[in-house]
Amino acid sequence: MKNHIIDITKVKRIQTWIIFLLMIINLLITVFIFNELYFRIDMTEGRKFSISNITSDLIKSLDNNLVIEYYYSDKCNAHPLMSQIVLFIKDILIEYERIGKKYVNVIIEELNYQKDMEIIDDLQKSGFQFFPLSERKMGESRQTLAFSGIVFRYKDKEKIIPAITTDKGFEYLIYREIEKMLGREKDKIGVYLSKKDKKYEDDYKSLKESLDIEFDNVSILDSGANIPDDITILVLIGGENLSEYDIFQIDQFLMNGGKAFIAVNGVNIIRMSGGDLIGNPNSSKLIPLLKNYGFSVEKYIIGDNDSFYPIYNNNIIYRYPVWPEIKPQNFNKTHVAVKGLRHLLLFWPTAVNIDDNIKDKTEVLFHTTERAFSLIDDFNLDVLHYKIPFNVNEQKYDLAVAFEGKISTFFKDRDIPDNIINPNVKFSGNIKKSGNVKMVLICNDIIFEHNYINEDNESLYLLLNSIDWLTGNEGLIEIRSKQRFSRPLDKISKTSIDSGFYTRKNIIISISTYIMPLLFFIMAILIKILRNIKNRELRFLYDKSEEAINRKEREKS
Amino acid sequence: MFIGIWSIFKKEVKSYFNSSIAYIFLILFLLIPNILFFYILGGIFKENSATMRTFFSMLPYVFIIFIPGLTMGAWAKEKNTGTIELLFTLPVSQMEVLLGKFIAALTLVIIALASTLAIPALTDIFLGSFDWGQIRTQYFGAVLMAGSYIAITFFLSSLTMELINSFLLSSSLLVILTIIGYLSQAIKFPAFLDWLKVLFAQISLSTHFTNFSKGVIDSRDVFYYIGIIVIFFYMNLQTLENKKWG
Repeated sequence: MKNHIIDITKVKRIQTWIIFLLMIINLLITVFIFNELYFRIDMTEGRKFSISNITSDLIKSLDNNLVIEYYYSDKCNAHPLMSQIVLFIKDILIEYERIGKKYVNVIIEELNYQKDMEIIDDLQKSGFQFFPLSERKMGESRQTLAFSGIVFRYKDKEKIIPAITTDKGFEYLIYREIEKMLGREKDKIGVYLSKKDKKYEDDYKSLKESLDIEFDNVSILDSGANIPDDITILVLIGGENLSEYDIFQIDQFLMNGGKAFIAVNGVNIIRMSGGDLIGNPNSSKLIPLLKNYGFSVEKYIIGDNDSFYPIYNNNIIYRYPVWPEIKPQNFNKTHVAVKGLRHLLLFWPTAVNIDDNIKDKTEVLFHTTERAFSLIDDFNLDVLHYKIPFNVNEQKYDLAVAFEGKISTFFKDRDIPDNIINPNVKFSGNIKKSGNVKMVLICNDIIFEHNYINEDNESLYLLLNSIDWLTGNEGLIEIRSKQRFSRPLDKISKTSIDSGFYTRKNIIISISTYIMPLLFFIMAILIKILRNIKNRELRFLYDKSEEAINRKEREKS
Repeated sequence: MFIGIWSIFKKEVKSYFNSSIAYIFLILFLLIPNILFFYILGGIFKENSATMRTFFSMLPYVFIIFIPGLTMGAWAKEKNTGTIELLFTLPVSQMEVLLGKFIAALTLVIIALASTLAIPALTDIFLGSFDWGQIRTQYFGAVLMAGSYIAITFFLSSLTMELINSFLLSSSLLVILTIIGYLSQAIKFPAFLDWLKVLFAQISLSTHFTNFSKGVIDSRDVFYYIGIIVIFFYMNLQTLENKKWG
């Protein structure tokens, strides 16, 4: 009998070990399968740690090893915002490696000025830019230099992002660089800047930088020159200085399937020597061209009583409705060119009216509120003039449109104009009578001037989104509009006094760290007291029943 | 089966709250990690950013001490008070007993974790808005991780049946399983040992929490924690079976 029990125990033990081994084998197989077939759900707002399909497709199409090297200085860790950005970049780059599997290698290195002098020197020589960061040590604030940049290596090519100081649009930035390395960029941008006394390099510095970062192929077009054949997108700002021949060039560019982004004001704003501003109706030849296509750029300034940017002067806030701000609900939700735009501040804009015959091919991108008004003849732009709201003829005005369809040439029954600026340059070829055109028209060119571009860069986003719509790269708009992910304690700014922040901070620490445990402590004491009362009652009942039993027994005996 | 689990669960929760274990656990769990978070790591104020990532990055280490402290008596206490024989003879299976005990311990950890929600909730009211999708994922991951820690410590408690031994053994194993993931980042492995680096990262309890702390649910991490719970449950049941007959 005893031997039999021992045998059963032995068999049971062997069985246990076999089951255990089988479980481990099963687990290993399942781990292997799950590593190949898995899913991930990014629960963060805006899917912060996920790469969009368009980037994923680009990475999957690599046919060679792409090395992404991210270098940042250890100083970044001490800075509240930069530390968050560095952490985000590290996390998202790991995603690139995960999706790229065989072809993407990510190297992340934190460098120290003392230990890694040589590497830092090399990075600086290759183009890395240092930026100042404020560092707090022993209660004192001081400036220090830091860096955070990426080197891409693909085949024999090398590209650098010299400084990354924001997480906004990071994926887009990476996408563009990879696309450039792969040589996939097909579109060539031609910029026509036509504003009196304005220079592209100085007065449109932000626009220039932005286009140079985004596109490898950007050409500046001069008045009197032919538009090169390889230009696919025309960016036209202003239009004041365009000659009749230039207008002809633009017209034929569009008739040949060219795509254009046009920003023009119906009224030009001129600053006088004394600082006063005056408005002059725009006599540009571009306006009749657009009118021929069906877009009437009106020569009156639009103001908005319901949504405008106030002007601060000597601690006084002034109403200034002729700087209308487009409200989120007044953007066209269905058009990708304005996707992701939350607001847009315009400066003395004008309106556009669309002819009935092209209305079905045109979409309004944004408009004013119902409480907008127009200044038709009297362009008084003085701040004090707008103290009291204008309540006459309030209505909604369209300020930007997107068009896609067939239109006829402006030069149907006209001769080819002479090239006065550059007589040696002549048009060769036949005039095309009509063509399929894709165009975005914004009735405000001032928004692209460097001095008027605000920190949110909304006007540049509008331009880049529009270019992506024109080129058909609409997937890029989605990743460009990925907003900033770091979440600053932004309610601090709403507390006017600094001590308000510390009071709030102390409340948070006190409640979560001390009051909550204290509540558990009080709960423990209360439960203990209740238990004691209950025990006493039970003992009392027990004693009582025992006494009763004893009494009964005594009575019996 | 559920009635059995429910009965054991009730008994366990009652025993936690009738003794001082639950209160000590809850008080210390709020006090120590929060002091570390706010005063040593700077909390949300150091980065001036509405994120709990630092708090959750610290959690695998906090669990190393707290969870063995909570569960060391899971079986040892039964043995010391002589109720283990009673448990084995009750009309409930060992699986039901184990599940009841496991859910009770996990409930206590969930209560402790829920109490820390005061930090994001108050910050959201006073200072800056949180990404609640990320917060939900962090807490979900923390519960899964706590489940695997509990399963491991339960097994070791059943193996030793001694309070101190169980605590020391559990903490030691958890330390190894937690820091092993960081070894792959901290130490430079030679190329031929790359597989070891991957293995370390794969078996580490903390590595699999990284995605959760970011706000991402990865099926591999979920499966890993569930796998750990299942394996240690099985081993726990076998140990109990041996103890029953041995």
